[in-house]
Amino acid sequence: MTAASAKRRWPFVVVTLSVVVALVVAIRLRPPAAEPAPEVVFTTEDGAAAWLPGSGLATEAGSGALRLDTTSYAPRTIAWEWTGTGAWFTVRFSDGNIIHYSLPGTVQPSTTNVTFLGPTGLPRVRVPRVVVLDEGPATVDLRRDYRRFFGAGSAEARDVFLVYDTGSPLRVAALEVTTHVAADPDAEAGGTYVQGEQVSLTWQLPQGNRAQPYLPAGTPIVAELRLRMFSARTGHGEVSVTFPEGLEVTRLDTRAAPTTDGVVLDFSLAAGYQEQTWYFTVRAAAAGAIVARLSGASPEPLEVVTRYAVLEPAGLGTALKVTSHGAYPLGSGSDAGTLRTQLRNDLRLREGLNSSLQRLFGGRESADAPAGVVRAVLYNSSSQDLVLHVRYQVLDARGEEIEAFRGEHLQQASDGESALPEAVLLLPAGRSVDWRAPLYADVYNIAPGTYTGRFEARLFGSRLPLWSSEDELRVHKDDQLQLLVTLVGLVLAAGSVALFALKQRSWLAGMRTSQLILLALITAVKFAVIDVPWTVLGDAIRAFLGPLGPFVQLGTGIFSDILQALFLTALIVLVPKPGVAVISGLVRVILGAVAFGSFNPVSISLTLSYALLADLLLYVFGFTRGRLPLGSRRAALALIVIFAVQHVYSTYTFYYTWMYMYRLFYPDWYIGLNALISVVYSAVGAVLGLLLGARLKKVID
Amino acid sequence: MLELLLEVPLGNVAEDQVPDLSEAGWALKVTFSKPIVVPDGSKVLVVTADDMQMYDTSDGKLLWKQPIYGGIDKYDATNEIVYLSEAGSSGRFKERSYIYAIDAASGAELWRYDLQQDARPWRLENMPEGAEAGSAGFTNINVHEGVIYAKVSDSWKDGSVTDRTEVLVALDDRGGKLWEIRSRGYPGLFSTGRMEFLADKLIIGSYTYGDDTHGPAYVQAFDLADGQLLWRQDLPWEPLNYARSNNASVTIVGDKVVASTSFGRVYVFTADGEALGDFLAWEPVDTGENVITTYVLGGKVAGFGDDNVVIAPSKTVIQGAAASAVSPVEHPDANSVLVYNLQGERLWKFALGAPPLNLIIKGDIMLLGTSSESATAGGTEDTGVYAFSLAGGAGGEFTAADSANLEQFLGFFRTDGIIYVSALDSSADQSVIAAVSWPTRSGVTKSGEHALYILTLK
Repeated sequence: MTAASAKRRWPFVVVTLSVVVALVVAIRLRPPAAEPAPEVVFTTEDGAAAWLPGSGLATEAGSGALRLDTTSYAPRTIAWEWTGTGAWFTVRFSDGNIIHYSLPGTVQPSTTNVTFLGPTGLPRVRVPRVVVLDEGPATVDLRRDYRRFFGAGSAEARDVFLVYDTGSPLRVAALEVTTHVAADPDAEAGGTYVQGEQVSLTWQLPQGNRAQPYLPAGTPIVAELRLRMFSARTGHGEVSVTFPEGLEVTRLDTRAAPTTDGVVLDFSLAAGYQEQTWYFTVRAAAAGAIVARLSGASPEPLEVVTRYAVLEPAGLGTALKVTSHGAYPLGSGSDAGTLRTQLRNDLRLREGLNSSLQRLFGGRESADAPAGVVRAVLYNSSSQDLVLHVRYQVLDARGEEIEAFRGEHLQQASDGESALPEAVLLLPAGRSVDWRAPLYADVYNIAPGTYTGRFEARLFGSRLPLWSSEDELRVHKDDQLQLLVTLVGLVLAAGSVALFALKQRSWLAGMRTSQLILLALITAVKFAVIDVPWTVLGDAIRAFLGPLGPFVQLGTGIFSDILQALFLTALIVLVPKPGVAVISGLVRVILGAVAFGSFNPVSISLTLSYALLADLLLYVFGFTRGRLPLGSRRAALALIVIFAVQHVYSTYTFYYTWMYMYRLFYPDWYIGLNALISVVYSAVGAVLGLLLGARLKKVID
Repeated sequence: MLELLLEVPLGNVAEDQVPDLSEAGWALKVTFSKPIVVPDGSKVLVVTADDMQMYDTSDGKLLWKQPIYGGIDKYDATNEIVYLSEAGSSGRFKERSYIYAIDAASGAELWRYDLQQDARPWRLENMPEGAEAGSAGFTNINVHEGVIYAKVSDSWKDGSVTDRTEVLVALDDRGGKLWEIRSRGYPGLFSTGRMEFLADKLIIGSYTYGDDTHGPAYVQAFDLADGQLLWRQDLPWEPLNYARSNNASVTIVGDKVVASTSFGRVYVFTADGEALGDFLAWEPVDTGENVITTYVLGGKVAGFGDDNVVIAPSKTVIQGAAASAVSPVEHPDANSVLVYNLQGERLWKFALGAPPLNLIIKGDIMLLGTSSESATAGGTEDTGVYAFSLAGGAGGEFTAADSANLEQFLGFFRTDGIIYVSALDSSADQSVIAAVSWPTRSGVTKSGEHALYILTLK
């Protein structure tokens, strides 16, 4: 296409498009075909007057009522013309509410409250409203007026009456239902409007079930009988209940008087609205019917027959499908509040420093965020509504529930909401419920480990479990004891330096030159024999051992534990003075820094805190005060105790500091094993140190 | 009879603010809108998360609109001034906890008073270093004879211990402080209901987490002139309670102080705190397999006449299981209105079918605002505003016979959405009523609307 030909054709394209758009718009904007107004047909309910097509109602005097035929539709707006006095339209809505549209006049429609019991037995009170309309043309919007007087709701006008009670000429004509909708047969069938029901005597079989009554075969379960009524009488009322054969009552309501085949329930009557509720525990063997007969409360006795089915518990259990059940941790940060489904049955408790101390000294826990959420998606594939008592329990190895998981230890600002992982649910037929409950854990009383998480769903009011499930629940703890130990190590190390700074003059002044030489010599030997090989060969040894690395302590402990204790003991034998261990430790740290440029904070903290602790214990036990002679067995035993304490401390400080500072993980058993090896080795080192020290002393002497 | 004067859509609420009633603690994370009716009924203020809108009830016109001050906790009003208290927070202490005095006619701020200027020093004096904030800056405010009584509560967690400080101040109508009282620990000054006034006394209930850990809930009376504590009466926990916690809800009946525990034990005291007697409003039901009960919190206990008290318990609680707003099992007295005389005789009962979260009695008129008991709908047939007459028959005394045909029932207006606590207010003569509805959801299905309803009661 050339540019010239395109230029020639564009008016044609524009016109064509315009026509198409205009057609589309015209079609879219065309008003829908008006629904024809329903034919206005009134039937005479009372009185002599009749509605005549074309002329309507005309009467000189009298009273009566006409009813608009609304069987096939529900009017929404109505227009008419009227003159005279003493007439009104009464519009009754599907929920029982009433609006009277009245001519001004002396006779007014009744506005006495209408009371009845709704489909669920709850009392309903309807307060009729009167709208006075002037003579002449009138138009009413029933939906608008309903909202104005009664509020939200989907009620439609169901009955329209024209009522007259006049002593003067009255004319109503030209009535037209201007808008309407088709009558909803379901609204009628659903019984949303039950006029005239004054008594509701209903069983909940089992308790909580308001749908089709049923009982589980052979299982005791609670049933509820509730009476609600409006009564004008006072005095006494009575409900006599006849239980069928095959229904055993295992627990009577305390107010029930037994008879040969049932019970009599006596109650006081007061005028107005009132209610009574009774509870029975029943066990059914076969389907049947319970007959309840109310007398004394109304002019005529009322008999209610409640038929119930009996269902096999196994069938109900099979019909209850449960998925996605488990205990889930919650996300944090931007995922706060979401379930971490990939960590099912794997909870990590946050134990703060406070809780670590709390665990040692006891106390209460405050309300924290839950450790996780228990969840189960329950689906009821049966045709009966199920009222379920669902719970989650954490069991110990003996199968007993651990109360510390029930959240009852929390201080909660609750308004009845509690943290219990236990709830009562309605599970309608063919529906599912996603049950979730926070799972709290009392960190002070829960040890990390593997527990059993048990779900159970039973029919409410019975001990019949319809479903249960047990899974492993793994509980971990982020123990902040690591932080505490690290801090203690740092404080002791700082204390070591501070003590040296304060005491170094008196310490050094109290030592002979030979003792100073010995101190320097043995420290240098310790550095050469213990620190140098480990610094140079440590990584190579670990690499060489490979998977056996965790057991490196068996070999390296000879240096770090036996020789450490050996040289320190020998030093104390030769130089039994306060400050010896601290000075030796500081010199080792300086040597390590000078020789290898090593400023490893873990190593420095460990060396200095170890030294301070050693000096302290040696002083307390009397070794450096000259109170405990080193040659005795008692001294040997004391040294073994001192080194046991020292090496338990140094092992835990070493690992916990690494864990805290470098976010590493060592299992408790591994740390414990190393501590044990260290204690044994240090005891050996202490004994050998005593022997070495004694020999060196002899040589020196 | 109730009649709608004005309905104002208040816009959508954020997705995370639409609660699922079947979830435990559903109300805790929602900032509900609140209506305020000035005593003469001429104006209605609605406070949402975004703004405040004042309507003239004579013609329904919007008088003024102002941006919100960051969330409102409690309110009270005179014909000329609306008093608002700033919302509290959880997990952090508030820099400011303002009481705002707003000119009802123009929306202009007349003055503001920062309760934290009194509360913070007291908290810092008592709170251990490093303690974590709990519920902080929670306020309550009531106006009585031109004096504004306001209290603020700051709680913290210090490891295993929950503790708090509270301050109650009396302010004159220009925001000048008249007196101040301080409280440390629990139960303290916090209560779930409003402060009450009897002659020259200020009466306050309290809430406890547990008698064994925090001591019993109690009723306290303070001298309106200087805030001095005049008397205190304990309301001890009893085994029939549903939980360890307990609340003392107070109301004034004639010249007496009436206080109810959460579990329905009602105590009657003289104005000087002398115990006159007590009765149990309902009993737990023991079916053999379960113990079922209900409970009442502050704001749902109110007195009328010289000898009557109304109690409106709501949820059913099954002992040993978590409470739910939508329990299929119902205690016979849950979700109902119970009228007693002070001798403990039940005069009247009406079942509502929905939890009554608001109860207002002024003169002879009782108003109720209800939530929903259905998890599947934003409002059921029973969700809305109820109006009852409490006018007595012969002799002016309310008796059971007065309610014989429920002619006392003045009307029910159904709202499209639940009416949460403090979402219902009325004029002094109850002729103008304002309610705010709130949407709820079931799963992802939302129902109900966020709207203001201004009603008249004729």
